[in-house]
Amino acid sequence: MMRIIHYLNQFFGGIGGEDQAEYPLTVTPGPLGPGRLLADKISDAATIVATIVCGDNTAQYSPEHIKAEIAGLIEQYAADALVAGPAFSSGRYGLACAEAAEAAHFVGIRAVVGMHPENPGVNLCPANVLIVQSGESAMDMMASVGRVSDVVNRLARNEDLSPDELKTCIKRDIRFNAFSAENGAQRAVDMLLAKIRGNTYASEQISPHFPRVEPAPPIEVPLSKIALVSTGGLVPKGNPDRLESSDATKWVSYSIAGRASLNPEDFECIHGGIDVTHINNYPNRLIPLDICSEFRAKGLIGALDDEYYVTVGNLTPVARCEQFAIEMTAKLREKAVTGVILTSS
Amino acid sequence: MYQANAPQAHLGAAHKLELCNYTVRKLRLGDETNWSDGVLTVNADELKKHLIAEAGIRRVGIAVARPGESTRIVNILDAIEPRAKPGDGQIFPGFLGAMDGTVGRGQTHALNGCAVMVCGSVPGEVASQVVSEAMVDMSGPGARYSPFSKTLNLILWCDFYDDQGPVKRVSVARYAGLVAARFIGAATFGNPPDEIRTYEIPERSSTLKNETPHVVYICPGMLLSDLHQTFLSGSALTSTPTVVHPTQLMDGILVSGNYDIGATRNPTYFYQRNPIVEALFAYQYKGLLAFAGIIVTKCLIEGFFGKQRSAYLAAQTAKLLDANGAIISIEECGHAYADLMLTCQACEEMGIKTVLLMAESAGPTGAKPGPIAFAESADAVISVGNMDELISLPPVDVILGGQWSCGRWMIDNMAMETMETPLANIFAANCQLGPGRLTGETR
Repeated sequence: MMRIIHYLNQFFGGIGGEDQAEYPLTVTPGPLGPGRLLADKISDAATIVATIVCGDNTAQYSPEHIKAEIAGLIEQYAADALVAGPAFSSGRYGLACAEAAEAAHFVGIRAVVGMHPENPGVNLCPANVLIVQSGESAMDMMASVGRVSDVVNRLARNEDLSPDELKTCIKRDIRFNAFSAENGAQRAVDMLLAKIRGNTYASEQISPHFPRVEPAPPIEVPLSKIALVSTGGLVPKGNPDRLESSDATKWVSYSIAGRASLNPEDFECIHGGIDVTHINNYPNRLIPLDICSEFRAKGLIGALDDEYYVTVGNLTPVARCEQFAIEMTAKLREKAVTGVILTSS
Repeated sequence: MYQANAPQAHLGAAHKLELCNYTVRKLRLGDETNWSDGVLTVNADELKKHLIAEAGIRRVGIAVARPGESTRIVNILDAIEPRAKPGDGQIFPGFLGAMDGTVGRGQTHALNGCAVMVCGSVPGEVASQVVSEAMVDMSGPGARYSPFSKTLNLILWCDFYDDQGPVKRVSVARYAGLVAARFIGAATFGNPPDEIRTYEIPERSSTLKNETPHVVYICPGMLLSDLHQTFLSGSALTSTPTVVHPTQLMDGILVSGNYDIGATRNPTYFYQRNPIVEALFAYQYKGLLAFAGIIVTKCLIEGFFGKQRSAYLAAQTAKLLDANGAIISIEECGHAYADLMLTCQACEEMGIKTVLLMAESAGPTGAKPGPIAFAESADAVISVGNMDELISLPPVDVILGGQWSCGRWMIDNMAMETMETPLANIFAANCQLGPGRLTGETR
């Protein structure tokens, strides 16, 4: 029997909703929630030995720590495979499932994750993870778990997936290095001659999909309530949360309560892809608190959020940025923010 | 007052270079500096004295690294092919002499199969930028990724004065490398070469008549800070494109001053012995195309207007050279790809068909989504591989090029521990001038 460890968020683990998003990582022997459904469908070949439950925020606050804990539990329960989700289209949950899959990859066991194709977690799963397509919401639970169980049964029996089962797995463009017979320059000139002559050729790289963002409709003056958001990496001196200078794994927010301007004694820019000299001399060049304070005094801005929100865009994957946006927007909505000034480096 | 000595009269009007290749099959240190029958001997003491006197360097260690040895070269700044021109010919113009009509013409002696590798520890920041790691393993799993594991390397291990800051250090090391390359290249004078290759581009009127496709090579070099520069005859590149003759590259008209990401920086060596230039000449001799010239510009240009400016000026220049096609290389990554894509788009708009060379940054597992910029018209792109791929390098017997930590690894540990590194730290592993066979594929 294949031994499976199952990862769920606080909601599907039966702990609670958004109010329990900070629930710590816990482990329970045997299946739980959707895991019971899964256990029935795989009972001939595999058994769920334990279920990990973790709050969605907890999983985002310290991903490295969570991954290490999950890796430890995989070993403790001698699991042969990890199943996570299904996470449907829930962004934070999908991201947490990707973390769990990374832990499995690190330990060297297979991982099967259930997700909607547009879940931002899809692109963050390691290359060899099987991502089984799920519906958009828990309405699709029965069918989604059914598809996951088909894949798990194959893995447990060491069989190849059927063509139909393969179709249920989300195909991603995973890139691998390989050695070609000719060097790059020779291939380039050969490709150019083919292109000029109208012969066929195969480009070695194709354009990734760039999602378009529709601009929101304008908001009315006086602008209220406005928040300052940036991908430029401005942090309090000393970078207390250790925001990464490239390939950021998180976003952070810092208080600007009582400030009319960001002074160079208290703030610094840790962005790794630009010359930060001018920002460090006058941080308002990145996050325009000075001018916003002025506008507030003139009544053009009704209210300004008491925090600014920041990450680093330098080499950070689009999928992760989408995830940051989902999380930031949730917090901004909570604080009744109606408009943001978004600055990049 | 400058005295012109009318040196080029004997070259006539033709723009033709005879590259005299002296193949190096064996490299050793000895009592004199000479090349004979494939054996290059370098008098290290003489070279050291020369470099200290000429280049403002404090001390320099000289060593040899050969393919197959259990040697790791670290803190690499640049690699240069030893070359010299007999008589009054100028090599590395702007650095070692004035730009004149001999650059790209007459004869050039080249020590084929050999590289001067300039190494040195350069700590510190300039405008938030640092010198990044670049290393080469001469054997083992890392060796297949760097073209410089296949060359016989003369290592110049530079030591600097304490009051020399990062910018001074790299400029001193750069100059030392060029001086050494010419010094060693001159060891061939008086010997017959293994082969002479003649490079010239045909009269355009004749190739236009018989409808041979005209191909330009657009070569952007990096310029971002004092640690990330490219020099055209001694002056930093600008975003105003310049047309140069391919043979001028062979005489060192382009010199690298870029010390960013090891895998994607363009070493001077591959400007001199440029793989794209070689491939274009080879096809020209077969009558398949006519080489119409090289357009040099810069990449990592500030601002969208600046990027558009370079892109459209380069495309317009190509059009005026009657180009039907263009190979476009690039240096570095990130928003350099915006420069690359805009240049591609501008060329295609003007009816010039393009092929681009581009590295990938697809994350350690290959799952990270593609580059930040990609034009719809970029339908022919060569991949020189994913620079984020991790490789495991075993311990080595000898470490050359630095005594301080290199990146996050301590030098002392390298002799004992396996190190896991992204290809980004391997010198020229993903060089977008196309010297390597590495590519990327979707599975």
